[in-house]
Amino acid sequence: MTVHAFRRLLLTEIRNRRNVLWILLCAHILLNIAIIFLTTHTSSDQLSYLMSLNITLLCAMLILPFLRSFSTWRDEWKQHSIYQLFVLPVPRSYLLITKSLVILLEACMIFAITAISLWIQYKVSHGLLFRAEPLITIDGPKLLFIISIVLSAISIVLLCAMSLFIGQWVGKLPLLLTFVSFVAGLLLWLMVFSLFPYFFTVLVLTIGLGWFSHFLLEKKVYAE
Amino acid sequence: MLQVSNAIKRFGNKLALNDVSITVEEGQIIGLLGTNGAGKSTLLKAMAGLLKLDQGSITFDGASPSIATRASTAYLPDMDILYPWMTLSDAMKYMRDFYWDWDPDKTHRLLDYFELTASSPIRQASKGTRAKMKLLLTLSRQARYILMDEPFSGIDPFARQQIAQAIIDDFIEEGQTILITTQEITETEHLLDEILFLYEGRLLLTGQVENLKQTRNQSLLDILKEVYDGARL
Amino acid sequence: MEFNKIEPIYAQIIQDIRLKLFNGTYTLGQEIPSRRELAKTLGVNPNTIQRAYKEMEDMNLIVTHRGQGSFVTSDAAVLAAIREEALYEAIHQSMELLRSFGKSDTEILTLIQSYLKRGASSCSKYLTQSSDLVTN
Repeated sequence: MTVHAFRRLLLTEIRNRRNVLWILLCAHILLNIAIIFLTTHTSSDQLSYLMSLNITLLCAMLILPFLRSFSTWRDEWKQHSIYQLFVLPVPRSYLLITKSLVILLEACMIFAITAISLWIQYKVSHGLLFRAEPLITIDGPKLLFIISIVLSAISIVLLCAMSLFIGQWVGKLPLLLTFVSFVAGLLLWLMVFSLFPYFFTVLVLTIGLGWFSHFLLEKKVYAE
Repeated sequence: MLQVSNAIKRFGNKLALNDVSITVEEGQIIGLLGTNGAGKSTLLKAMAGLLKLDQGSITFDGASPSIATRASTAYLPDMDILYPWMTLSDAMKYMRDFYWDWDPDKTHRLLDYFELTASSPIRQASKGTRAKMKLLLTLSRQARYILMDEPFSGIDPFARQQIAQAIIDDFIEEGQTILITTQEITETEHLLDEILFLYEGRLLLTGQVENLKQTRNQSLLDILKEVYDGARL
Repeated sequence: MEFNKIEPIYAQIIQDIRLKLFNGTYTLGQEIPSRRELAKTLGVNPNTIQRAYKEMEDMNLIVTHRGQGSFVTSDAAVLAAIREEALYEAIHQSMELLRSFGKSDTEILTLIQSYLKRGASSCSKYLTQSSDLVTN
């Protein structure tokens, strides 16, 4: 039963985001096609601005799943479907995991489209757009680095959830509290990482955020 | 057996539940009656696990609320809590995956009885149809406890009759414990075994409907009016 | 069946069964709807029906055989008792009404005797006369 429940939560969450996701991904694909077009028509000495363009587009697109990290929870309260979720015979951790998973999935899809686009641009620019070698060669430290990036993404998603829960828990001035706790959390995260810039730190911070968000959802937050 | 002990709940300055203690025996239909803001919805939400009591406790057969108790409790709120895009069949698929006591035969029978189309979106339906849809989703399970918050509110008398009959029919079959909050005292008193009358978060009167009528020789509404007037003084 | 809001429903159900037995709708030993059937038909809480049936069983008004259903009693004495009670109730109500007109019991007895002597044909004239007596 619990597998069915988890699957259903996941599918429902995807369905919730389905329309926006389609538009988002189509827009991203179209914009990337535009950049590819630009790449084919740019002379080799003017290629540098294109990388900035790619990176800007990627960051801009990633703002959307970032905002979703807040809105996915806030919408539940606004449309009262949080009642439905809290009444279900599922552990609250399922709710946290499925919502976070779908957001990360969204981010992955955006990344994937960018990756494919960059590969096409690389081919079209005859290898002049950027150096592919560092990206393709994977070794130990590089793998850890990639995993750290993934963990950081998870951290951000959990940080958003956590700050929203804090806002809901206290009840007064929820939006302000969410903003303040998010910024405070982010600064704390960066501070700790700057003091101990290791992979292990990222792992611990992510797990800590996960634990705390779950704690808030389990014990402190109520439908009203 | 559902037990509420010395429940206290505050919303800001307002005391929504003021030392309420209730024992609900199994296999009964209990009416939670009272004026608007008396605390009926609050009590029901606390039972469903949506609110935390400031003081006091709620136990289901001696156990504190948990995933297990939620699995055998059905909560039907007065507001719409399903996602706006859901059709009735979406909702049925949703419920089936979460509740092991989901009964597909009941679903078909209720679809026929209420004359509902499974493919219609819930939020777009009329109030009466929505009430029937939500009731279908609640009754298609074999939950031990059913908590209904104003299931008849704003429903036309014909739909109300159908809904009441569906509840009775199901109660005859399953013999579960049903708690209903309602304002429609005269229209629902024939369904109720016991009533709990709340006023400003306090329990003013509790008793079996038939016994109350026998001893006081009045209609239920008149009995409650007397108690209400007494409390307001 | 319509229920009034003042009396307990179980009492009204018992009264209804007694009435049906009295006026011949149910004959002695006839099967009546089961508790479940009645609850469904009337749309009433089955626990209420259960209480009514239990009381009727205690009163020997009905009998329930497991697996077979519920039946009106076959005991003619019960029917006779109901009839007698109904008749006495009718007399009681009339007596109360006549007493409320200010007549003593002996006066009432005399009135009844003269009524019976006159017969049904002069009934309406007598009633008009007596209602004049009342209004004066």
